[in-house]
Amino acid sequence: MELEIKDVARLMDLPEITIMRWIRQGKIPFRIKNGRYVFDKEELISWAKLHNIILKEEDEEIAKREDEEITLSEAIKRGGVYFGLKGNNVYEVLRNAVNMIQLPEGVDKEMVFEKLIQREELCSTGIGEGVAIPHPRHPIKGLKNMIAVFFLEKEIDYHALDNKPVFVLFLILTSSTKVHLRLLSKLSFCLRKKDFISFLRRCKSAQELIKKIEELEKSEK
Amino acid sequence: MISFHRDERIKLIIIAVFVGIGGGLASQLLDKSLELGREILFRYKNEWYFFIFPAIGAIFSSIFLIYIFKDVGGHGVPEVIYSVTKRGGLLRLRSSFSRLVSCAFTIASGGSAGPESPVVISGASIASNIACFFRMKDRQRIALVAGGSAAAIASIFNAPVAGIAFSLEAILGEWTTTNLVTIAVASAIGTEVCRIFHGNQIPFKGGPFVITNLDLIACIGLSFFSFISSLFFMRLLRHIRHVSNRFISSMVIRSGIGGLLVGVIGMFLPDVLGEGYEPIRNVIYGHYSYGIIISLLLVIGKIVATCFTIGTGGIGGIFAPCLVVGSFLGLFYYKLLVFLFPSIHWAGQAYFSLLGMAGVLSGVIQAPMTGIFLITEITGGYEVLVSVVLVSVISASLIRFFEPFSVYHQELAARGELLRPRTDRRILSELNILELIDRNYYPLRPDMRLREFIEIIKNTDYDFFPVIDPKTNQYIGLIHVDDIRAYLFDPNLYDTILVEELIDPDTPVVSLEDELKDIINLFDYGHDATLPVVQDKRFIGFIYKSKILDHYRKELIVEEEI
Repeated sequence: MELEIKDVARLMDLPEITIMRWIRQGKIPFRIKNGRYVFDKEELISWAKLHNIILKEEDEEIAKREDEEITLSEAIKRGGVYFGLKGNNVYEVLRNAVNMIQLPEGVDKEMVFEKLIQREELCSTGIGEGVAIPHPRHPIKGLKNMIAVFFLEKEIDYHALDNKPVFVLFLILTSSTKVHLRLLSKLSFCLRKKDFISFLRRCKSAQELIKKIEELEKSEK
Repeated sequence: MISFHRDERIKLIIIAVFVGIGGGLASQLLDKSLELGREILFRYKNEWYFFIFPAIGAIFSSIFLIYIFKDVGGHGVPEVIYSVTKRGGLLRLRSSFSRLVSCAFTIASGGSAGPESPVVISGASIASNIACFFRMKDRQRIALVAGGSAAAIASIFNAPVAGIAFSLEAILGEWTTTNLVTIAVASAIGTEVCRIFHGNQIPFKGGPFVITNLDLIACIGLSFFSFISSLFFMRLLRHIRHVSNRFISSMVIRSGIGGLLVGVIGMFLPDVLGEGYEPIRNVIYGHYSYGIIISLLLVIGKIVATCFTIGTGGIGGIFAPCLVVGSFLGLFYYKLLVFLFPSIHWAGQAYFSLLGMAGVLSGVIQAPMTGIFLITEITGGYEVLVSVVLVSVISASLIRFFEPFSVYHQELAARGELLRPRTDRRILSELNILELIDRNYYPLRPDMRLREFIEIIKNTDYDFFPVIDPKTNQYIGLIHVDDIRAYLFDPNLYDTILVEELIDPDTPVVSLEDELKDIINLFDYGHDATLPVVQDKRFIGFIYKSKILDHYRKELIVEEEI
């Protein structure tokens, strides 16, 4: 695969003028094709490896940027909305919730569950008004950023801050603190609104919920 | 990757062959013209007016260089070093012959200087232009320029290894594999060119020597004498150059006066005139049997004559004079030994002369390997190797205490332009500020209220904000969010504080012309790790300490050759 100066500059996280200078000084392997400087990707990668230079992988870069800019409604679309989650206490509902969601390969459900419990033992994530936002104690590498919404079959005691029983869970799963805080902030913006809470109590379908959140996101902007 | 290197290296080796031929021919050309010049002028050797000749030669030489070739003066070698360190090995085409002609005038007329420096710059310049013709990149061009210099030295002395050593030690200042291959090829070819013209002759055949342990001990004494002569030589040269430059601005007049003084010295000590290969041969072959005093006078006379020739602007090198001084010094030392210890059978006049040559050369150009290989090669025997190593290394080590830079490097070092490979200064000089500027920023208006500014802080991830006058686009100052953290949480101030009032007036600014090393000094003196770059009152971007480090490391990495 052929690369141009600007691609190499991005891969190496250097400005284009540095790459141009290196070409002039003969410090980097390049070819001339139709009067333009081009780089063979394979050659560049082995050269970088030999010199112990770390190249930024483009695909990763793009995926990372997309993830960091993920909106609340997209995260919920990814995580899914589930109704009628069974369970009589915090452990049971979380156990069932983890079993229902889809995790990327290589992420152990048991580990996710344990981290969720660790966080609950630290301090309940029931933030009041019947809503809980369970999340693992630390961001888990390899997770896809998402929020899964679970409406409980029956309200349970979640040791919430206001001691009210909880009827809905927003399970937040992220791979970095940055994304976690972003999603959390967006979510709490919605949950602050009284009418959103009452909407949740009567919400019957996933489409309805996502539509409502998209509306709220628009109003925020 | 492998193919890139293989193709380039083969190409480099093939071009090195041409470079070797060019360098070799340049030195043979000068050699022939010196021979011719000497033949013509030395007919008048015994005439009373002969002492004027060096002056006339020097004047012609300067006129040719300045007015006809319009080139700049100097040794030759420092120019090559400068070009290698600062200009990617670029040299002007005219440098390939300008100094040859000027040097021929200087030396043939009796001026005390060596043909080596002019030949080195010719060889280097030929190499540089060949490299440009084949569109070689800076790095390869530098290797070829070093190869051209090696070929020149190798061809003069029929000494390929000395050529390689000189090039690596004096010109490049580093030993790397890629360079070595290129230089070795050029040097071998240069030597071959010399052999085509002269046959495989050994320039100064000495020996065979019977070397005893006592001789080796005596070598240590000789290395001290070499060191003292070298120091005297370097100091006097600098002094004369300084004084003559200060009082006489015209190079033509200056070198004329220098030539006249040389002519006067030559009336009493004719052996100091010219490049001096003949006196060296006479000393080594034992044709001279001067006493202690005369030989000491010859040492001093040669040093003074050389300083008058080169120090006043005459075109020529210091390489051959070092050898001449060394051979006289060896003669003097030998005579002294015989006088002090008449019963001991010393290894001989030739032995000590050769060692003296190595000692003075190693001292003045601070390149002991060059001295060692040159003497070993030009004497055609390895029996002197131990003694030569001893004298060269001691002399070169001692002089470093007094003169940290060699005669070739001291000018560059004084101008702060001696940038050795893989040194901090070299890498900083490679990096350009433009490559380090981060142009991502959010400009603030000076009349903005804190409330508005806080919204901006929320929605961006910058820590530093430039304040820019929206009317004139001029930079007003810099705000660092860390400095104003305390006010950010005080809503009472939101509408009372203006952005203008938050500016830190002590933040220094950097301009595009600033040297990177000065910018790093600013960081080191405890300023924030971020500085604004401002040119003509316009804000251009930020420069980060962390980014400099990142860049610096990458630059250092790619300097490495694998």
